[in-house]
Amino acid sequence: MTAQIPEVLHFESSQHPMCTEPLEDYFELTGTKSPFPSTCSALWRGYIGTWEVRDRRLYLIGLNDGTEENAELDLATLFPGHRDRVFAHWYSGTVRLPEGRLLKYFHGGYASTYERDGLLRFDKGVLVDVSVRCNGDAGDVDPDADDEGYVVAAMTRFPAAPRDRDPSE
Amino acid sequence: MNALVIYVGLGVLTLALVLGVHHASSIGSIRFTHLPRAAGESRSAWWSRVFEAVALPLLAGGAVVAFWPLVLAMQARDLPKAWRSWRRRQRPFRIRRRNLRNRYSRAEAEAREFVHDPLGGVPALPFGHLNAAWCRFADALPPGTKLRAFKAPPDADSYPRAQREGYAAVDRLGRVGAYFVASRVELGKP
Repeated sequence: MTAQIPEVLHFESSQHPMCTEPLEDYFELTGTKSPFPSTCSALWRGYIGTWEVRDRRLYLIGLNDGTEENAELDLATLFPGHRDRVFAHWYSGTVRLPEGRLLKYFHGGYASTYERDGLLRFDKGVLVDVSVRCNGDAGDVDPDADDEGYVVAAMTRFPAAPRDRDPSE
Repeated sequence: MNALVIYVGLGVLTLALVLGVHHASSIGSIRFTHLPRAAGESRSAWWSRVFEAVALPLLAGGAVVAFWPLVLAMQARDLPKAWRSWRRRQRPFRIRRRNLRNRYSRAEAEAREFVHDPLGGVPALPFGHLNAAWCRFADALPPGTKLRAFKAPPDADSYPRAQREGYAAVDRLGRVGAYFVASRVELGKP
């Protein structure tokens, strides 16, 4: 069990860690298997997606493999003809953007708790609601706490294995 | 002395059982074989990786061998819950008659489901990026099959618990056959 590296979301001129994986819904709905092999215990899904909310719509704008080189993957491999921007119309649900200082670390999934959670609710890829959930003040837990940002304490990188299908090809 | 050997032997058997169960339920079968220290990685981060990958499993294994009666008791306590969870996962998602909505032909359904994006982030096809999956579903239907839209709220019989919407093929007797899920909202998230 290892805390997972989050996706990245560009929202309101800032870059946020995003603890939701809309691309997994795409694989589920299309009945396809992710072509991305796991490279590390903190990245079982095998990719880091970069997303953007623009004009209240959720777009996938990049994919990286999450290795030490963090090589860029071609979006058109999954979405032919869409190399730069993919509208995530298949996604309905709430994405979580952890904010502030760490309150409680849990070394598994996205289960760590931070001071706040930005919650963005989408209906078929269109942003319908934004709210913030306050989880507490890190100063109450640790008066010396001052670091903000998402934390993955440790991970194990897997040796490169032959791939059935290389998504960058 | 004999009692100690038997105790440790049973502990080793318990450890093998626990590892077997863990192996059967773990995702994939990727194994790490080395722990290279990444360039620029701090010594403390490297040690925490070594601790996670080597020392922690050894300590956990030792604890299982030493306290195996406790481990067995905990496993037995979790067994009914694990069994119910496994049974639930075996049940496929099901559409009930009360979940069915209006009736459509394939052409009508496709006309309703064009996705538009002003930035061109979606193909001009029914169901957008899900078009290939839709075509696989619709092409397999016998000619003249009537489709009905459905909206299925989550219930105890489906896993994961999610609300699903889409189209289902329904025969003359009202029996639901193949279906296509176009939208899915998982509950309990985030």
